[in-house]
Amino acid sequence: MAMFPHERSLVKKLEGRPFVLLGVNGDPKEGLKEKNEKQGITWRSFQNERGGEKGSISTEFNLRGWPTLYLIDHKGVIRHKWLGGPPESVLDPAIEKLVKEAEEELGKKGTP
Amino acid sequence: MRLFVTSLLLLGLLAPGWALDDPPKKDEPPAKEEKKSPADEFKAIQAELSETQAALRTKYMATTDDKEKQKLLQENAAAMKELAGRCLKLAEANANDPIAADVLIFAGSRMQSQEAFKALADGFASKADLAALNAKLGRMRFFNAEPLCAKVVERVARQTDHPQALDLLIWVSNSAEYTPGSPAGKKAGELLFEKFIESEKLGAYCKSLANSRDAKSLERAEAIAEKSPHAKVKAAAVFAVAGINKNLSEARDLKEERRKELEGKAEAAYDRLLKEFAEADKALAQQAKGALNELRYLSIGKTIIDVAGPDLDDKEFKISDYRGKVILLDFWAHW
Repeated sequence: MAMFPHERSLVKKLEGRPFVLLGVNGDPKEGLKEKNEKQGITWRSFQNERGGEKGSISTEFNLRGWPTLYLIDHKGVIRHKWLGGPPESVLDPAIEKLVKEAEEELGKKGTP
Repeated sequence: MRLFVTSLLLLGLLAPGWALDDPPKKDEPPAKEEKKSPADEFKAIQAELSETQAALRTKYMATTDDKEKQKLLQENAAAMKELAGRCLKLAEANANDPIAADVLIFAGSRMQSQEAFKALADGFASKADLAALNAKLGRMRFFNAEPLCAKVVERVARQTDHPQALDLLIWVSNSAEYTPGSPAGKKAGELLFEKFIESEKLGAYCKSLANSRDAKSLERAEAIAEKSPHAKVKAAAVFAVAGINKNLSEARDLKEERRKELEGKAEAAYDRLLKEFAEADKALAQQAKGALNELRYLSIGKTIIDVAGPDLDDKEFKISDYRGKVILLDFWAHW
């Protein structure tokens, strides 16, 4: 809840760079669209409750609390994990470092 | 599941300190006296708290403005302080009525009033016998009730052979679980360990150990796992050994070698639980499975499992669709 403004600005700040914010949303579906619009939540999210055999993503992840954040590098490796929202002073440099790594690798390959 | 947002706690959206089985209040007799009876005043305070919090909660959910939210939280804190003050006065004026303890317990658990816990420590917890203490406190679980916990431990320490001593010590260790470094919790742990290591009830203590992250707790959990004659207690102790190692491995800024070592220890303990004690405590075995899954496939340095599912528009996608980009995967909700 307290994190929304910062998440909005992260998405904006890193536009055009190799970064994406993906969510796993734990809310009931009812009224969710309106709430998201109101809060300016534009990033893509999974529905936590997938139903059927797959069950919920939070169970699959053995989640112990909301929010929990995983920071994953461009190769798909988990590099950081935070139980509870990390302060901006921790989150931002961690993301910046990985985005730079991704950009350097992209640069080497010669892809623009 | 624990919610990390403390503001919700403050707004009473979660009330973990609440009585587990608050007895339903009997119908009030038509009160005609001019002065309210203590029971009526208590009821009035309870009703006022519910109304105030419901109103603030509605406003809180409706606003998107962070400043407004802060303001509402402050209003909530002020209202709680005021009501807690009334509880203290009520308890003081009726110090010899059993209702005094109930009122203070209410103020402590629902309004996080430290004064109420202090008053309980000096009054009820100093005077009542251990059986009465256990009857009233045993069904509650508190946060930040250090003064009260300290008094209870002090009393139990003087009569550890009392039939309620064990239950009260377990109550203290559970209530102190979320007060880091609580001296009362520490003392209760010591007594449990010294006097009751063979008790069948020690599993409840082990479960509170599982959330800690210090060397002493780890040492105790290991010793209980070895010495307890009860399979179910052993299971809980092994689970605690695993949990503490896992908690330690999640510390920020840990050297990679050390982290891997701790993760390995946690994994080994969960494995042992599943192999040796899965039958002794099935629910715990389920939790161990989840934790093991997390350690093996979801710890730092591992490649993320490819989660797939519908997005909020019911369109299927998967994490690997975004490979090549840095991904911040955020488990979030409005609440």
